[in-house]
Amino acid sequence: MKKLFSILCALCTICFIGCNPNVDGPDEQPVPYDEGVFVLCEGSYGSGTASLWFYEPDTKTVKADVFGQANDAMLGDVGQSMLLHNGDLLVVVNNSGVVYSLDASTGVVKEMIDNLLSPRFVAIAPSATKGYISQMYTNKLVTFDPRTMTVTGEVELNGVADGEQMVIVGDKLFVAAWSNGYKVAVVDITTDTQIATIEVGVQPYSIALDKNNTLWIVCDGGNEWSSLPEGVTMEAPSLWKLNTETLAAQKVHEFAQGSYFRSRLTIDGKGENIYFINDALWKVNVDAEKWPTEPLLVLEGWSQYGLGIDPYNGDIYIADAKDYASNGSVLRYSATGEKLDEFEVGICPSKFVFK
Amino acid sequence: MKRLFVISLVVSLFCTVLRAENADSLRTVNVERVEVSGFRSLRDIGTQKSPLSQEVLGRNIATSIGDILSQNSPVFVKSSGRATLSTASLRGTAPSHTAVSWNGVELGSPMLGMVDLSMIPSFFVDGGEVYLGATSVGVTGGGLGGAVVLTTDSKPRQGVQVQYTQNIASYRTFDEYLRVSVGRNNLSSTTRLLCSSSANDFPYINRNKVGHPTERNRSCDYNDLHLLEELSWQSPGAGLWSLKVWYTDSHRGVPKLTVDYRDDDLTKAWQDERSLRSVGEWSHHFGGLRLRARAGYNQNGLNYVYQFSKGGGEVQRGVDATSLTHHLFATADAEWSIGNNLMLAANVGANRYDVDSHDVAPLVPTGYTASRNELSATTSARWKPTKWLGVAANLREEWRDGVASPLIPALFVDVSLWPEIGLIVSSSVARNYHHPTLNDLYYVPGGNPNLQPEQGITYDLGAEFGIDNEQFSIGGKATYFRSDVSNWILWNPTIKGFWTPENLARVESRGVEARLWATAKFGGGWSVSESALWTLTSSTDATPESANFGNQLPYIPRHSLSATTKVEWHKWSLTHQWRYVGRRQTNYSGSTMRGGYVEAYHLHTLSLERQIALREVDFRVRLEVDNLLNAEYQSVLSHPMPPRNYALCIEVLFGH
Repeated sequence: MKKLFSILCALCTICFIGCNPNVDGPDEQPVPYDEGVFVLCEGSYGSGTASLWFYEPDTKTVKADVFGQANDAMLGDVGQSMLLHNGDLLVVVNNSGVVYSLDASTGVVKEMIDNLLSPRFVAIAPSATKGYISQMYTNKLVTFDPRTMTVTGEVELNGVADGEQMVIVGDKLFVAAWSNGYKVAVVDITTDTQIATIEVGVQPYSIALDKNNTLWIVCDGGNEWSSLPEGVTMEAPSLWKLNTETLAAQKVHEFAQGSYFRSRLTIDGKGENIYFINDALWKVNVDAEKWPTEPLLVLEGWSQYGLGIDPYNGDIYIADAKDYASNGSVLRYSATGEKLDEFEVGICPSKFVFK
Repeated sequence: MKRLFVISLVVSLFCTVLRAENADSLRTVNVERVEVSGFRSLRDIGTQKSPLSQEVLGRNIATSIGDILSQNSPVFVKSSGRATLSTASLRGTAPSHTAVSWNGVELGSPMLGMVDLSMIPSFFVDGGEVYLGATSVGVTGGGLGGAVVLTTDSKPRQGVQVQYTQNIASYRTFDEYLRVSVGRNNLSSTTRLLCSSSANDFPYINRNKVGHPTERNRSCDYNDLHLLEELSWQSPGAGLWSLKVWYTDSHRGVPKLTVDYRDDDLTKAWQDERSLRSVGEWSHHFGGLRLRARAGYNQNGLNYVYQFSKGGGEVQRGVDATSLTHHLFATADAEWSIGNNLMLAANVGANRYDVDSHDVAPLVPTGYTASRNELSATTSARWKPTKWLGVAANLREEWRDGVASPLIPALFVDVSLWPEIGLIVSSSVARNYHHPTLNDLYYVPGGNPNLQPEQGITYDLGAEFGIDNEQFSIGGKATYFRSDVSNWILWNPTIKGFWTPENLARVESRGVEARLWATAKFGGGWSVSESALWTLTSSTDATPESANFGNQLPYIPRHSLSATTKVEWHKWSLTHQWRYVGRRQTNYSGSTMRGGYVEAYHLHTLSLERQIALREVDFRVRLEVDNLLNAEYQSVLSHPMPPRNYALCIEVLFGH
């Protein structure tokens, strides 16, 4: 029996000596991110494969896994949106329930807000002392202090839930509620109370503010599987304009029934042109009285999933999600539609932020 | 004694060195010793299969069937942890391409095609075999990778036999097993009961989160109840009759991702499952004729809930998906041995599935209601024209809702080259089909009723040997396999925002399975046995127009290796199990970026067992240390696995 025990001890000793704890360190020192564009990839839902990339157009250099390299961690599950604010990159990771504040030069996490139900988008007030986080599954916006990244309260919305994109104009916060019908909520950010609810098309999907402080709203019209409230039926996709002073909304254009938006509404650096992908890439001057007859770019396939316009030179970045399950790519075009570059990024690229 | 120590030392060093090198080149699995006689029986001509012996299953009563398959066969099991979804894949194919049956009951979900192995307690399995590649054609349809056939022992027992086992393990894990057999004359009843519960909240260092905090596994508690009643009657002159009824009631938390920063009271998911499986069987021998008929009814109810808090005590369900499946089936087999050199066999089977699957949480509920009728017929002939040569052929036909599939042929050949050392070369080739699942066809939204069956051609070539004497035995087997699957079904997104399946891909799988086993008996009651299995699998996207052409499929390790060393001395036994699983991609891109793969890992398990025999009652006590080296590893990305943990198993046997 003693011999058997000796064998057991010997085996255990050998095994423990050979044990190397799996301690991973950062692969490299954080690299600086100067001029370029951050690309946020959603990843595959439920797998935690969201990723952040950086592309330098001058050198055509792609820097992969910005977050992982800087923080020796994974970004999370479903990279939803991001916003550059005072040198910090706020990254919303939906199914991880977290909003990170990264140093936009290094990618290192400075602060974070966690335990969020299902965060979607972030907006920062002009005072830079208050921010808002929209969420799915609730009619409440989370308010926070962007200086400390601490939650300060919440704003309850009436008649609107599942907040999506937000835009702040003066003292007004406009909240699109994509999956809850046909409404845009307006919140007074000095009192954090809802002051209006504006009816637009079905499922306001995306909003952007132009140089005239006019809010442009894309409504996708829903489809037969949309969770529309009782009494609301699907319709053709449409583009709306909302006067942010008078809060008057009007439909600008109705798209073909059955056409689909593959990107959110994007605006150039001067706020003069809005861009979106609806079958093709369209560019619409905000002051134009007539709808363009030709798209800016005819696109192949339908796997385009994101759109970015370089605010400095007007270059167009189109995210191609391919099969949505493997790595996607980004196609870069000049402002006139000439293809300049293409590079591989992570799974489901969808958002761009220019630095 | 010195020799024994040296053997153990060499084995351990071998393991340690391999781990230190982190070589992406090995995977072993614990393989049971296979008897080799130099010639194969008619029934086994050309077959490639791995047996699961009663000894292995009995030894691992508290181990999941997935872990047993991983350790003892070339099956690769993908699992997110104990009591979570565990799926099997063989020879680089998808989980839905591995058919799993229990006493003739097809366990594969008609909705998803695959089987959750974590719902099959090894306590309810007395034996089984893993049929690889073409060999599965004679057993079932749709097994492009192979088939796992699990059985219980129907032989009538005599007298009263009681087995009670208590397994107490880390993380408040309690498993209680009770088996009571009562038999008299030709009639017997066996009742098996399993109650299993665990908090399953093991600690781990979360290297996926910023700062690498130490956390606990969350939302993974479970409570499982399994009850099995078996009645058997050996009728004089009228064969063996048996009835088996298996009831399951399970409540399981669904684990949170390692990258989930939300508290448990904010979001939570769980799954409840209730199932009833029943099968009646009759079998009889008339000289060289063996007949068997089975019929049964199965019902499976699943409810998956994702719930979140809206504050103020208000909760809402984001997902409330319920499915109810009814399955009626009947099969009949006949096997006729004509002399010693020829065997003819035939099988017919019928299945009827009714499925009702819905998610009632969204404003617009999703799901579908569908039915499917399946018929199959298989004939086979096995012939040994000489003592050293055996040939066999199978021909299978299947109908789905009255639509016939193309014929499924399979050919097998055996050549006994050197009977003295049991050297046999065998080969097989088959064409096979896997039909779309009901979700593939009918799920709303996205189901595609125009899908074609996935079509595979598989072939293998192997050799085995075995030398056996009273003191020492050694054997080995190596098989090269290849399969080409076209019309591989992939779910892809649509422009409408939901996903739909299409016959898009072509996949090539090829590789080698090699097994080695040896036992040695020494003086003084000592014996040592060793078994090892290495699997090399290259399973790649072969779709010419695909951007992922040539990339390894997700969650298929190129290398896997397992080894089991067992040292016995009278009533004591010490068992060491080692398993290596190579790096696995997590998507089709072949990405080397963080999250694009999960690292290779080594697992060591050590158990010490003592049997105590008294006059009326036998005891067996086993102490087991799982993950002995405290490896940090993930089987599925973003899902932690337990660190070093312990189990104490006490078994009481009466009447054995």
